[in-house]
Amino acid sequence: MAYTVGKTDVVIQNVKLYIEGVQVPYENITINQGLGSLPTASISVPPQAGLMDIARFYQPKVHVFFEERIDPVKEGELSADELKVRDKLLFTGHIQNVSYLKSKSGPGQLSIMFSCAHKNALITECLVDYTGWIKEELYVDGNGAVKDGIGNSRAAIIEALQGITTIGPTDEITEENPLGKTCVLPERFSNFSSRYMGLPGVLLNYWNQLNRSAYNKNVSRYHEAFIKLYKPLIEDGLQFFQRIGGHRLIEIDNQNSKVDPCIDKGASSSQTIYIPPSNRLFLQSAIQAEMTISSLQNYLQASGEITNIFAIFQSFYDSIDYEMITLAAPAEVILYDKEVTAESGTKDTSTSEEVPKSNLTETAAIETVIKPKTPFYFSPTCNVIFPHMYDSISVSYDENNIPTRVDMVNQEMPQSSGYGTHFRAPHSVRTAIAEAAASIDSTKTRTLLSTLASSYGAIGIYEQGRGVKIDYNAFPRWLSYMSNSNYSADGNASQVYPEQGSAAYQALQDLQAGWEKRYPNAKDRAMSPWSSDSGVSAHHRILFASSDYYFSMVFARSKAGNVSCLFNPYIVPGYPMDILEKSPVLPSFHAMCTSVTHIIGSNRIETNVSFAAASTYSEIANYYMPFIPPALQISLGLAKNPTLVNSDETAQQLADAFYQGTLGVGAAIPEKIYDYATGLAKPIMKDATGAWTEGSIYPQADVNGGELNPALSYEGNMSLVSRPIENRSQHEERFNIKFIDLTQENYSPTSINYVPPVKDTAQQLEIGASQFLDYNFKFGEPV
Amino acid sequence: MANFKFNVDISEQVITRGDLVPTKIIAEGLLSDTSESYECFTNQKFSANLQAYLVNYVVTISGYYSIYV
Repeated sequence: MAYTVGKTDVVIQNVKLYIEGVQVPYENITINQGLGSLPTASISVPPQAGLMDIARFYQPKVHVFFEERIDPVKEGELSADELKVRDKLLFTGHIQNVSYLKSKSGPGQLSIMFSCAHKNALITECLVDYTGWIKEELYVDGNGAVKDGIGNSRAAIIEALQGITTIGPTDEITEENPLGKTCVLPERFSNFSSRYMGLPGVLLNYWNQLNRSAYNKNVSRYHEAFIKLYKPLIEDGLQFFQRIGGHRLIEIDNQNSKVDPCIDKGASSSQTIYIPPSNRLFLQSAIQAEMTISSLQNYLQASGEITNIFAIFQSFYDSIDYEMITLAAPAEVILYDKEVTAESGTKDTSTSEEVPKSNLTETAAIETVIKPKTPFYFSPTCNVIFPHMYDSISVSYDENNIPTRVDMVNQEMPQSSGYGTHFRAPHSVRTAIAEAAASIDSTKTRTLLSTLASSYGAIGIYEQGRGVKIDYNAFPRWLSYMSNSNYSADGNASQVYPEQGSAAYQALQDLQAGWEKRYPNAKDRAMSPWSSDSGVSAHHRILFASSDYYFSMVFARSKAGNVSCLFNPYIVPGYPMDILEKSPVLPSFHAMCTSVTHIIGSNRIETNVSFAAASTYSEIANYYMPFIPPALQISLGLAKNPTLVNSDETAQQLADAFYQGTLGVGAAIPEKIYDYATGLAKPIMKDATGAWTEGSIYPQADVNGGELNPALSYEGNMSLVSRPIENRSQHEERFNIKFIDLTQENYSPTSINYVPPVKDTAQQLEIGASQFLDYNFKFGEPV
Repeated sequence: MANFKFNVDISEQVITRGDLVPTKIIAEGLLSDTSESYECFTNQKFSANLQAYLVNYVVTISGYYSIYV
């Protein structure tokens, strides 16, 4: 792609702050986003006494936009509407805390600071009440919570795992039709139906269950808070469900992997349920369905008596090794409005005609990403930090803290006979134990099965160069549950190797091919979890894979760091990242982005990024790291050749597809952005389609003195890693709001006296009332 | 903007501290059309009352951050 204006890297980055839609001047803005929590912001503005009152019994809305500078149009050539399109959302939330500081000491300080939560923090105020079903006096009353009809019961989980199967209005749950079906998508969300495919749809199903509970007239309470306040707030005010999305590539597989939870038990249910990738064991469906339901139920029962709806969503996804990530800067990506039938296109369900992807132009924002945890996968291109994008980096490797083996013990139910079963990693240690078992115990053979009990004091071959450093741990509860001997007893007959020709058989064949590529020695077949020679039960496969995955994590966890960048609004926490170095003698890193902080002031603007699991580019090429659960390896084309460096073309294309539908960017392939022969970052440019291709190392000076080669300037680098973000015009239209810009045009010298009704009454306010709201109506009816 | 009150008698050329909103903002319809609590919380609309205060806050800031040179 040609750049028509040379990049001088003399940057004046415009960042605009709006409080309640009014652009105001500010002194500092700090925006934080990290894993496991919603984004936050703190802003300080020139003080005025009245500002201390604005957040009392109200939450003034805060929006921060940055002006995107990557397109070559010069300043001053755009109309006000065109400028709105260049303004991209960096944060949206509301004020939660107001603080005032005045100090005469030293240089003096004077400021008012607002602490802000992300807008979706309001969802945490919507409560679900599990109390009082056994004894009514135990109701925790007066909290406005929904009295949930079936709570976190087995029935609720089975129902939720059905996800969304059809679109309303037929059988839609409404106040008039409370007995509708929870798997029916309310018609009002139909435009976003493709985004609820797969496991994101489970969230919608659970929401439908809550609606059904709220409309339940048999409960001796009226759910006014939910029906009239929080339901419209979450559905309309915050547009939470219109702004969620998953990774289509994975969710298509999930959709195709739904199973009948009863079919293998001689019964049949009317609905099929999802089996999350982490629970997919490539064995007969009823067993993995049973495991999924049981582990979820076990996990969610720790939720307490009253909990908030957002925490329920988070717990649910955590229990299946998924996560919810809230993007402070929402991705603006293609909206697939038809049912997907093939990777290359979509199918109009009404006409059954294939619709090519290129015909899809409508976009919509994704603010909440529901995704499998993939800490060691390829990075999205927006998470690549090129050499001109950062000024300092620090990385710490605590090598002494890295174990040579892990020993995972399950936390099974006390009645389980399998209590104390060990799942060890890495392979070299398991091999040593199996060999010791075979030589010491005449009943044992050199198989994976022999490694489940005693270690026989065996030492792995690589431990002779380091000594033994063991990491004992317990499996997470959801994984431990899979080890429960109930399954092995129940599943003995079912746990035969899958039938030849079945998808499960092919999956195991692919994983076994990957194993044999890694360990070509024939006698190692008996050590492969994917081989029928190993002697282990089918449900053990996922536990061995998990122990290998855990070993990767403990290997990587001792390697953390942070990088201080020039302003970078595109990087997303929760995904892998790459940090490239321009010197051949200095290291480049692949890591997992854990938090991003933007610091914006009158004299500086920067982005600080923290990361974990940092590995040098040498390490990811030299070491084999089992990096994702087996089912995801199948979905992402990594089973046969499980590596990030020199991966198959198919795996690279799938990685592009994985990110494209969610973040609007492709994947960064290590050997395409880093030259292993020279140790240098490769010069990258964009081709006519916007895809990355190798560029030139030579400068291209523009007449303005700027640099035209995007690989050689900060602004050029930013244009490479940019991702589509919701703009101000789109945000205004979707939320039906207007922003008042701080311009000389708007602030005409003539003015008119606006009389706020509250002030006009000349009465003192009651505690609970905001000075800035009117209370003439209650839920649309005059008071 | 049916419920809004404007006192046109004190329209002034000079900005003073108070609840003065520039006429251009009114004329362009940029001010929110409601301050009702339900609209502003549940439907997440902007409160016109608060907007009026903040617009006034903006025009009363002097010095480095002032809108008026």
